[in-house]
Amino acid sequence: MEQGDGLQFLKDLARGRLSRRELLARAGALGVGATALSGVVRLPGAVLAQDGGQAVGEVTWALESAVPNVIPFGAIALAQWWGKEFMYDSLMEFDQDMNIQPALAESFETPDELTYIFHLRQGVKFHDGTEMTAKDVKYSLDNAISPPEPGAPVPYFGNIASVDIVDDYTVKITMKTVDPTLPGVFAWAGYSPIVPEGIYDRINVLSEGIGTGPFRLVEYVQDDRIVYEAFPDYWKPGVPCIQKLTLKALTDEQARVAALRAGEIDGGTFSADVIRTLERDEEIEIQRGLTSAPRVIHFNTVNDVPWRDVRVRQAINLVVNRQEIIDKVYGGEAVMTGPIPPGYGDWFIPEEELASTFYAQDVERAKQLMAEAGYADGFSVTLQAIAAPRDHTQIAEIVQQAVKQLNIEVTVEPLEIGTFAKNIGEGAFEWAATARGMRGDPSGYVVDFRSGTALHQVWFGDGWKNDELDALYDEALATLDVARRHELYRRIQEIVLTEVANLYTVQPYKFQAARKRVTGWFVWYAGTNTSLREACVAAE
Amino acid sequence: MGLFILRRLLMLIPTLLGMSVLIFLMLRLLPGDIVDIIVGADPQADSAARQRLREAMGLDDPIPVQYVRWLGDLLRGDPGVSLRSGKPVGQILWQSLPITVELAVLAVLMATVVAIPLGVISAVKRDTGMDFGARVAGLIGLSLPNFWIATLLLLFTSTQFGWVPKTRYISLFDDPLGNLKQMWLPAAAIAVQLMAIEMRMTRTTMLEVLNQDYIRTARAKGLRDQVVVYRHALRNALIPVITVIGFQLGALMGSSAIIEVIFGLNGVGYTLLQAIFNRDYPLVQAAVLYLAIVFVLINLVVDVLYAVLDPRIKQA
Repeated sequence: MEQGDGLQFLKDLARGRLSRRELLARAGALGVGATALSGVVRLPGAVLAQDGGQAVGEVTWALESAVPNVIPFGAIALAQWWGKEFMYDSLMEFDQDMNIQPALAESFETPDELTYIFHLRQGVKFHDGTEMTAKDVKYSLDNAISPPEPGAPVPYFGNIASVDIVDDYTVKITMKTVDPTLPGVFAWAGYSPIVPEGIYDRINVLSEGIGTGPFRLVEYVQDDRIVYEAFPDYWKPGVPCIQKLTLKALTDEQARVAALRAGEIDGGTFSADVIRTLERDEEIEIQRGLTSAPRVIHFNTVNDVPWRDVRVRQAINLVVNRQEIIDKVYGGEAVMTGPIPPGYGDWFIPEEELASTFYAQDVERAKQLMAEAGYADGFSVTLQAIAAPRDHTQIAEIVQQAVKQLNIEVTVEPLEIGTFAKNIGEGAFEWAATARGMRGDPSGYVVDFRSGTALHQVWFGDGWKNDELDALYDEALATLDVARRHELYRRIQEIVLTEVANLYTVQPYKFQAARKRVTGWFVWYAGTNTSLREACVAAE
Repeated sequence: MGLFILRRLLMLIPTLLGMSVLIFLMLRLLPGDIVDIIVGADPQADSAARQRLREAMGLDDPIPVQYVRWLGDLLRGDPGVSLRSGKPVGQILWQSLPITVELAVLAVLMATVVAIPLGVISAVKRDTGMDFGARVAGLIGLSLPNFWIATLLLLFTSTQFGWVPKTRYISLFDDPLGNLKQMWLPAAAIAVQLMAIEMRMTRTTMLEVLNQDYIRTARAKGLRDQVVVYRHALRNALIPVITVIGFQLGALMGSSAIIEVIFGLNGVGYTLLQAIFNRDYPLVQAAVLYLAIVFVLINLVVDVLYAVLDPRIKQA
């Protein structure tokens, strides 16, 4: 596809709804909005809000960890998104099928490659009653680009040169370079909520918020609950359908099970093992879906370590049985993953191919490789793993057992998340078992393999780099050519898998369950509970 | 007596100062800070960005500077705000305080009401079937961890009765009945172990006291058994038991955290736990100081109670 096609696509998008199939075929290839392309595994059965209906009923949804705060900008932790997603909108949004749809912007145009012009929806009210106009959008996007503390800087708006107000309902965004990912990142919403101008001077944005979303925040009790009420002036007709939505932190899974059975909560997230205990309850509906959370084991090659030798890493890859991880850790409820996780548009390498090509096992060959590398007698290494949830440690233990065949003596060290996060950020580990999160663009999943990037320096140093990958990566960021981008990311993944720069393992399914009185919810690919915005509940 | 209490209260000051230095240092010995937590285990921000955040939060100053700044604020009556929510930590603790206090008091009450009579009976009717029964029950209670009991209770009530206690705290003053309905189960889960400890303690000290000369004297002068046991023996036997109860109450202020987690109650223990996980320094510091104060105060009350039970202590 030529660059012109790319622009044509953006224009189509701006005009309105592309069909899902069309989007998959075209946008998917372009890289517009990561989730826009996802082949999300999802059960049907959604009931949409009745038109013009009054919001009714209460829903209490359990969160598996507490919400640290609800800052609008620079929130990286998923739990922060869980907390705030109901009160904010962005310029674009994803629909049920993860297509990009207009939200606070009714449409946008791209007069040239470096300019986006967003036409704002008129008459949209903030929760404080004021109307949203271009100055609010400019204020919001400026803050999204460089978030005030304690927001963390996010890497998705680096290509924006400036945001300008054209008139009350028109905003112009000028880009430094061609960047087709912007509408998708906006639709992903969490990094670019639209807030009233000057909100940081008016309220404590950590525990309060004013947005245009379907719910307004009425109560924030730290570490305990967040209470939302329907916002009657929401711009989308018939939404919200639920009158009162409470998010309750219940970190103990058995407590969530008991509370769900008793109707104390209406829904929440559960592990594959535990979900089975809910299967026979006729009051409860279970759904399964993919999310972006590929499990990976990092090899740190900054120091002079045995696994600097590619043969050692390949030998390890040859003895780790991913299917065993799927069966033993996740009770069969996971799929194999490469650098780009399954379900992420059509960018990922399918499981069958991973299993037959990149993850095929061969113990004899592995031993031979170890011998060739001069490590027939193995070595000792410490593998750090996130202690809770337990699956990271369990994967680490399976790897530990597997590499014993190569005389590699692994000490698994489960670490509390704070310690682990510090170590991984600073590269203070030998091997580390963790997971990656959602990314706005395929490049986000492989950026750390590009030499010279911040994390490459602390994870790989001069112990591993690949010139071909570097060139491919740079090209992929500079082209709008869809087919070419696909080839490039495909090849990048092949290099990572062949060189075993990291040891990718599996992507578990996410399970959620809710009482049947709640309708219209489903497992959201980005890991949030976004479907609740438009879900309904039967009145008691 | 007044002087005694005053002296003990004055001793709080060096205790708290020592505590504050200790907790300040220990917290910062923990690897990682809130910036690492914010950025997470799936880092998307480089070290320069982290450094900027640290500076903005005042976390890059030398520890002594941070300590003096914090202590100064504290003495001016400002214990700071939570690094996560920006809420004053005083307000957060004030919200979680009643939950923990009530949970602890209720659990201790439940335990004591059962344990002391049981312990006395067990001692008086030593080596009878009754005694054996109580002792076996005590051993079982002692060996069941309270989080296990809590989870089991929850699963039981949810499957059998379709009921679990409300996860949203109902204040005792707003709705006493609703509050008790909500709190009895978590309190019971904690009480089982306390009960076992108190029962065994009562039994042991009671047996000891019953072998004392003055008890023999009391019996010899023809007092009824009941009077001997309740007026002469029990009163003396209770002193170590009260120490244990006091200790339990203090310990429960922090250690009921796991029960609070399981029942979704945001008490002080749970708040403290979350704050530690998130390296929310101001909140941890304030919570620990508060726990220290409560601990000291409870010990003070226990000491005063000693004096009431045994006048000799007052004179000493």
